[in-house]
Amino acid sequence: MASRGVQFLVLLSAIFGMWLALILKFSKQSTGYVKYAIYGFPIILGFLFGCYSGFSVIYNMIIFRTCPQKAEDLKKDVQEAKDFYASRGVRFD
Amino acid sequence: MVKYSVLLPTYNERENLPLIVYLLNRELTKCQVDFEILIIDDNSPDGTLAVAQKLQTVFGPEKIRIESRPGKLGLGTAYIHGMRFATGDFIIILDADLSHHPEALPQFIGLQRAGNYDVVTGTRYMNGGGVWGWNMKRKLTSRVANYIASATLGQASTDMTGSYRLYKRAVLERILPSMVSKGYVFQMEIIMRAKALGYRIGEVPINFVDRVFGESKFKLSEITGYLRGVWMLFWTDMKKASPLPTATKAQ
Ligand SMILES: Nc1nc2c(ncn2[C@@H]2O[C@H](COP(=O)(O)OP(=O)(O)O)[C@@H](O)[C@H]2O)c(=O)[nH]1
Ligand SMILES: [Mg+2]
Repeated sequence: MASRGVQFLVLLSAIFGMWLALILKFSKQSTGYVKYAIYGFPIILGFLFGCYSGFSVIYNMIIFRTCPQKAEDLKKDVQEAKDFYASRGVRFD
Repeated sequence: MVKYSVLLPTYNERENLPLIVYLLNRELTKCQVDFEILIIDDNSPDGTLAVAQKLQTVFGPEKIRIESRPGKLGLGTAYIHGMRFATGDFIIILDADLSHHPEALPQFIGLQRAGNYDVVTGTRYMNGGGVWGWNMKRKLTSRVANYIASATLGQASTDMTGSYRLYKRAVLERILPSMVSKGYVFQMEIIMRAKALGYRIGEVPINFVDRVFGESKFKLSEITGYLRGVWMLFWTDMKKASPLPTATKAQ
């Protein structure tokens, strides 16, 4: 198994090759929307991927939990630790 | 009895060290396991080492072991350094700044046992996980960083950039010698390699509380450093061992 980069390049050239074949085969006969779709395929693909990335990142940011209770719990634990050392007469300065 | 080694790298953690050590001792005692805490201090100017030595007198030199280094040599090499001295069957890695609460350890250990996992990693993004002390911008940055990593490198974990983990000793012993990264993406490379080698990875939700004592550094240089790290990992074959020796060069 090669690096992710090499895997990605292989995939990309396969897609590019298929796209090129599509253009050579169909672009002359087809007209209008079909032609645009074929030529614009990489742009459409890039656009969709961008949309997916943007939405997924923003959605995940919104559902990212904030846990104020944990900060409170941590304060209690910090106090517990300090009390433990104090009760043993241990000082750290 | 099964033994757990906690690798605890410290740099200017004078205030946090006694607290984290107390909590580690509390939680691991609860789990009724044998354990040791290896403090890897890089000659912190704030005197963390003296605090560590004092802790040794409180908990005993078997529980608290000190393997310090003469200067700040970076986090990645601190783990490699610590592994040379760790005697446990399992290795626990967490930050000393209380962002990683030891209260999650019973879950880490429980899940590892239940599923015989090779690696158990904490995740801030899975059900029940979360953060405290981060604004929207910081949350967005974290999400983008994680997205970039899983989109380009493959999702080895739902929390690619997390660094609170439990490993079987053999996993780290196999992976550490082939590591190529040193800085911000060190932990990410470990989990990627673990996945590429077919190790089983479990996840435990964690609550990440931003550091209370000391400075939380989050600068532009970290972002560029991170991106450079991801780029380098993108072009690295995760199954191949590194031809480079794992240097102890400064970060
Ligand atoms: N030994 C050692 N520990 C370090 C070094 N840099 C960071 N640490 C420790 O690694 C942990 C994570 O560092 P921190 O500054 O909190 O990183 P952040 O949470 O990513 O901002 C803390 O326990 C630090 O004390 C280093 O160069 N050497
Ligand atoms: Mg931190």
